[in-house]
Amino acid sequence: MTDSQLVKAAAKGDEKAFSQLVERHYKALTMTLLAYVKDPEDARDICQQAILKAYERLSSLLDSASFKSWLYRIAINAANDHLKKKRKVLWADNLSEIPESREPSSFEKLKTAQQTSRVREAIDKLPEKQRIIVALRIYEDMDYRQISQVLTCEPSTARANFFHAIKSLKRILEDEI
Amino acid sequence: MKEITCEKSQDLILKDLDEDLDFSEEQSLTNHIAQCDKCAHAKIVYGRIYSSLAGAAPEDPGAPFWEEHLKDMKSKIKEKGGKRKRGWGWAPAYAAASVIIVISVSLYGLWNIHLNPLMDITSARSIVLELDHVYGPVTPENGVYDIYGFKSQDLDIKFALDDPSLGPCWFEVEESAYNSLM
Repeated sequence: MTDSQLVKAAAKGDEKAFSQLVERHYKALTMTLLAYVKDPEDARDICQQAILKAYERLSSLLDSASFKSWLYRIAINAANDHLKKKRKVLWADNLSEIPESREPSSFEKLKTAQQTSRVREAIDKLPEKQRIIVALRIYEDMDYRQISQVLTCEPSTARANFFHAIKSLKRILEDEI
Repeated sequence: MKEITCEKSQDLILKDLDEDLDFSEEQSLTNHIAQCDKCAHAKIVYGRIYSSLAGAAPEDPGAPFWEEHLKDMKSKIKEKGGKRKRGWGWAPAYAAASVIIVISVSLYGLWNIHLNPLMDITSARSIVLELDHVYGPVTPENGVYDIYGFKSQDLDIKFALDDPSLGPCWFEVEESAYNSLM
């Protein structure tokens, strides 16, 4: 069954159809959220929150074929809220405690000698908006039209931002790669 | 062929990696790279970044994480689904209860003999709206609202207030046809 057929059935109250949709998308969605929020527990919680919200509002989805981008949009909005709250908490924590600067250990240096790890670290250094575009484009293999639906922007903007992210990665990795 | 800048060349390199270059863009890029070491190097670096990106996805949290995640989510969906079903299940009961209350109020009005005519036609209209919920449309037969009441279908509807200061809270409905059958 296609997503669209499952969405229609789920909107009529078929709980099994919705469970099938969940099983189809929850892993990829969680991995995308993990690339964005960088914490597996947070990614899991946000994913569950988004899926439950989608379940509640399924009947408001006009185009059943666009379920995936709709679900991702809900999840990314939830992740944005989460990151905003986390920033506030970090800011409050920093008022009372200034973290010590920490040099990477030789073990860490050895670990990051691997190209994949270096790229992963570089991605983590990207601004949030660029990080999510990389996740959607590379890990989710979404085209710019789909990304634009998720991020509610023009496809050309999505592409420009993706290119910008790759250029940022090049600047970070230029001497190492 | 028109020369392109290094900035434009780098955009075309990215477009190429995205497999979105048309023929003329491909020609421009090839010509530029042949003459520009900086962009030739950039093409290699971008290529390496691109090929590393897919492998640089966050580490998989492992099977136990996914199992627990799915189990947790399914139970939450079930809980949510149950609430949704219960919510719909109660709707007819609430509707029936509302109808019973309105009918009881109407019938109570039958026994409430402190008759005071309505003070204005707006009150009459609002009572008619209430009656509509109980009896269906009770539009006056002659189309004219009257502060004392009117006939509609088999009903002889008389408006009567228990206390005019409270507004249209009580009213009397005489079911003429029903009464005559009795």
